[in-house]
Amino acid sequence: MSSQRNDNEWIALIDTFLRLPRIPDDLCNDAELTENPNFQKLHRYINDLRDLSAALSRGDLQMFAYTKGYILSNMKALQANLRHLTWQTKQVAEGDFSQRVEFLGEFSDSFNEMTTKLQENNLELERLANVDFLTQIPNRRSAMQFLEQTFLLYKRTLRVFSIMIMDIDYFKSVNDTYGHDIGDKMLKHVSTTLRGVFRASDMFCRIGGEEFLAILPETNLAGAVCIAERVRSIMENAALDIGSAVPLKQTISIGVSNALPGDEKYNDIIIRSDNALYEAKENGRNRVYTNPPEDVGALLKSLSRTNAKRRQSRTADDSPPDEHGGSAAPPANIAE
Amino acid sequence: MTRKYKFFWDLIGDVEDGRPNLGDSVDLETYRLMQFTMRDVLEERFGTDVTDDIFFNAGKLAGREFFRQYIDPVESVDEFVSKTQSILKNKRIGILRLEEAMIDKGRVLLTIDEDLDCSGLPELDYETCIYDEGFISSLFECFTNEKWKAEEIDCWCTGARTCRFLVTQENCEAVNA
Repeated sequence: MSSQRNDNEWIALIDTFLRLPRIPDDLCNDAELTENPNFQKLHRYINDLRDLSAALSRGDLQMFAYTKGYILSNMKALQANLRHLTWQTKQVAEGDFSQRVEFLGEFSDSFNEMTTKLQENNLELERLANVDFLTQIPNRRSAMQFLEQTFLLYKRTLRVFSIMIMDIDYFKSVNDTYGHDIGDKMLKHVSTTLRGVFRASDMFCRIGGEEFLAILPETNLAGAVCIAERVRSIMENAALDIGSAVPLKQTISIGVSNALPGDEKYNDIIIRSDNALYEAKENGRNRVYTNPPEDVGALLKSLSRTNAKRRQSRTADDSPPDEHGGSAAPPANIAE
Repeated sequence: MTRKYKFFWDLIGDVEDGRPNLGDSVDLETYRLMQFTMRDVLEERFGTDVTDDIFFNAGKLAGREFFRQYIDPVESVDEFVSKTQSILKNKRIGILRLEEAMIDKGRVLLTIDEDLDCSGLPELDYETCIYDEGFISSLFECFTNEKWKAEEIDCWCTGARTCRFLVTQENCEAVNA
């Protein structure tokens, strides 16, 4: 570079370049500078450094510097990392708690701790949203989601399923006579007693007040009646110790229905079960009714005969009992 | 043309059986030695442009086979990203980070840290990850069934500390708008 400036002038010029946000106007037309390609390259580099560092300092991550070079590249790497962090934060906001930061020192630890805690809190909130606070079994929200999925599957594949609505008989009198604490204990007692009756693939939940719902996939009306009768019988004999001489016994009434080809929404099945439950209540309580109406006694006898025949014809078979206490293979008239 | 070297995954062989003592990893220097000497000879024979084209297309073929072998099936963008991040890291190819992932708008900006091909190379004044460009293009093409092109905009060889790729969908209205 054939310089007209002496060393001190160059130092002053570079100092100006480093201090000021932009090249001063009076230097723009300086021939010695504008015609010197090396100086222009350095000038572009410094300008990019200046612009990128200014953008970063105010949190603007959108500026792109195309000039190459070590210092600028380090800043671009920082910019890229911050942009990635921004993307990760958006992912976390959308529920992707798998995001972890590895490149920002102490901040990484804080970010990762935050996402871990958010994930834990989120899981707990999800659990709370789906569980009945008192009985710790699934709640109505959870039941309706399960029912909707089961119904959609039924509409697509015609895989049978049934539901049963159970209502504790004379529950109001429990509250009125013994107080709400005992009423709550009774609700817990029913849920604890019945929880083990259902299969892991069934959904047993409290849908409000003293009302419980069970959704039974792969179970036709006869099979559901069989389970309902077992539930009724268990509750008839289950006693709640309330600290008095005589333990408290409370029966339940049950309305059962199954999905039918004409059903347009899952609520159709709920309405039928509700109607059956109403019939059970009207006809004396502590009983099982179905809708469509069936002779429950005859249904159970028929089921019992079929099961006996199956057992006889399978004497050599060592199949273990299933979760309902019957044979591992379903009775012929449970799975259609 | 009768093909002698057409690629299929089994050509990689049963490494576990074949290398019971040395295992499935190899020194990075050796990998780069093979790649850069091959590039040298190709350039000498066919010129720079053809060599670059060969590397880009070899990367594309590798990306396609890699997607089939390790990433497919994927249902969502999130799954595609996280699976790709995870496999690239586990195989010690590089650390993938996304800056923008507007796949629906045909534009993705990503970085590969500690890249297999270039991290630690001397400054060369040109971007060198052409094989990576092909590889990344293919991953996006396989995932979307659309045509994508990855272009390296920052590279270790040009002074950057990370490789940065702009990946755009070709003929995407949103990109061209």
